[in-house]
This record gives sequence, structure tokens and C-alpha cells, in this order.
Amino acid sequence: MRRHRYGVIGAVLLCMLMPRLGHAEGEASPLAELRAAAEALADVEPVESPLPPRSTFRDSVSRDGAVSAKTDGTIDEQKNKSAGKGHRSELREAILGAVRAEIVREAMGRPSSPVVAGRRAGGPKFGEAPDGGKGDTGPSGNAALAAQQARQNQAVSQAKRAGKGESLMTGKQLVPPMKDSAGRPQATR
Amino acid sequence: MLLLWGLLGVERAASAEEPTTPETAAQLQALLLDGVRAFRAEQFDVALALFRRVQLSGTRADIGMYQGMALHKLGRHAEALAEFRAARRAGFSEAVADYYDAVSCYRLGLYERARLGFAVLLDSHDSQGSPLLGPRLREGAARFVAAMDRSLPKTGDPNRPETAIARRIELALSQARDTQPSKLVASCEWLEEAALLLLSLPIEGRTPYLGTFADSLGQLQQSLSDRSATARRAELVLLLQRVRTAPAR
Repeated sequence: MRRHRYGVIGAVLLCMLMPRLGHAEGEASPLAELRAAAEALADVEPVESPLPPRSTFRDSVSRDGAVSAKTDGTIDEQKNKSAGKGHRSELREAILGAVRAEIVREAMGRPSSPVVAGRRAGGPKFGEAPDGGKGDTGPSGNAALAAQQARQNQAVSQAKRAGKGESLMTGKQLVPPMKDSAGRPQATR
Repeated sequence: MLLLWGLLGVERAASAEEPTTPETAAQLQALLLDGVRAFRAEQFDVALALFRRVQLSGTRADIGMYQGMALHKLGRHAEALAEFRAARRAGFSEAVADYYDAVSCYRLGLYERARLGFAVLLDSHDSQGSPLLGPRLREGAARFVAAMDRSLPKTGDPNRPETAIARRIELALSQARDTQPSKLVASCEWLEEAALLLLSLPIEGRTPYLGTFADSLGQLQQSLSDRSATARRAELVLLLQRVRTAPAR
């Protein structure tokens, strides 16, 4: 009789515990998974590694139109595009400004760059001062002119790279061909 | 028979924490697992949102542990501490959660609490004598302790007045006085830090600070006006009692 009673109690206990045991074995326990994940991702360095601020990354991306075209984000892409447009107009203004300055100098009869001067008959070669390095434009003038040329070249190449120099890309010229003092059309750069 | 009834009682108490219908239970379990997987994928905001949904069901008393870890990873350390405390209040304890708790304290500048938390973790063992933490976390805890020992010696550095216990108590109490709604949770944590620092002093040494401590506590209790903060208010009252009467640590 006593043995029978223990048997019943044992059976009841087994019935009670079985679903719970099955539950524990059959399904993934969130706590066990959390424990493993948390241990793997735990912060073990007292000094936090500073990450570059996101805005810096965005700025660097938006500075380069080619990179911004590769981004696949939606909001960021739109931001980059609008920033790219602003940058495009700035570049256009820079190019136009440089060309206008060139026209003004040309109108005053002073060659501003060795390239332009060199294209004239008898003009000094690239790298030489228009007055042979003897006048006020001497070596320092050469350097200034070379720097200006480099700036202009850089502006044009940036515009091309960014796909923003529409007028250059489509073959249209921003300004009509300039003419030198003799009335001959100058080659545009 | 007594054993049987006892087991039935345990079973009933365990099931009281669970949802009434099996469908809901399965859904919540799936939600919780999704949250854990998002956590593992380092999508902590997603994980937190999923844990919040489970919390709203009111069926998991240990959800504070999950939320605390997600909040910790999101850098919301004061809220993380509050969640870990809620889980402990419900009777849940987990070594990894305690580790996160201590790191959150460290990040907030609650160095006394961080030191104590890491010390407990490093000194404790489970029933089989194994350390509570795995090797990686043990090493991490040791690094944090070493960093604190370097920057904040236990006895204070006479050449650096900011490390003196009095200055640290003043700092903690001044932080605890900020009762702006956005700072309320952090202020409560700072009051706990102040209490721990005060407990390192002999009872007579605490007297100069007790007035400020009680004022800050009263202000915080008034600010914690919602019903859900009842337990927190009670904890703060106990804190004041301990600061007044408990012997030095």
C-alpha cells in the first residue's frame, strides 16, 4: 500500500516536471542567449575608445560628390546631394571668377599666366617670367603665376571629377573664346 | 504529501509570472528572443524596443535585466542602473548583469559603487566553487579596479584634494541635488553613491553631511511622485536609515 502511494506521488511529480523539462531543452532560453551575448559584448576596457563623430564622416563624404553618389542611405544621400549642389555652384562661381579675372587682365594688356603669354608669338616659355625674370614679376612672379594656374587647374579638375562642370562636360564653354590684343581667338584651357 | 503541495505551490507561483494564455506566452517568448538576437547583432535600440514591449505585458519580472543591458550598451547608464535595480528588487540576480551594473557605475563616475560591485564579482563563487564571471569578464573587472586604484586611491591622494573622501561626498551630494526631470534617475544614483561614501566614515564623521543628505533625499522623494516610484522612495528611506545608524564599512 505504501509502495503504491509513493508510486502515485512519483508519477504526479513526473507529470508536473516533464513539461518544464521539455520546455527547457526544446527551446532556446532567452536568458541563456542574453548571458552569452552580453558576455561577448561586454565592455572590458576602462578607457572608452573615442569614435569619430558621425557628422565628420558625413561632411567628408559630402565634400566629394563621387563618394556621395556611392552612398546608399536615403536621408544621408539626400543631404549629400544637396550639399553637393551647393558645392557645385561654389565651384562654378570659382571658375567664372577666374575667367572673369583673366578677361580683365587681358583687357588691361598684361598677360597673367605663362601659358597665355607663351601662346603669343615671341612670348616667354612656361616657367619663365614674361620679362625674362628681370622685372617686378621675376621669380616670385613666376611662382605666383604658377600657383594661380595650379589653382585654376585644380578647380576645373574638381568640377570634372564631381560631375559638376556641366558646361565643361557637355563641351559648352562658360565664356566665349577670348581674343588677344591682336584680335586672334585664344585657345581656351 | 507536504512535498507535493510545496511543489504545487512553487509551480503556481512560477506560472503567476507568466501570461494566462499559451499563445501570449509563446508570442512573448518569441519577442524576448528577438530582442536578445537584436542585442547580439548589436542593434541595441531595436533590442530595447522589443524588451519594452515585453515589459508592457507585465509578465516578466526579470525584464529589467534585459533592458538594463540594452540601455547600458546605448550609453544610458543611469537608466540601466534603475532597470538592474528593478530586476534585483524582483529577486533576479545574474552575474553578467551585475558586471554591466558595475561598468555603468564606473562610466557615470560612481566609483565607490563600481569598486564595490567589481569586488563582489571578483570575490564571489557559485555553489560549486567556480568564479561567477567568465575569464573575459574577470579580466575586465580587474582592469576596471586597477584603473580606479590608479586614478582614485582608496585612501585618497594627499597631493590631489579631489580624491579626498570629503570632496567626493560633497560632489556626490551636489549631483544628487539636481532634481530636473531629465536628471532625476541619475540624481538618485548619486545619492546612493553619497550614502556608500558616508558609510565608509564612522557614524560621528557623517554628521556634517546628514542634513544635506536628508534634504536631497526629501527633494528626490517629492520629485518621484508617480505611483511606480513607490518602491524607489521606500529604498531611499532605508538608505537614510542606514546612513544614520549603520556602522562603518
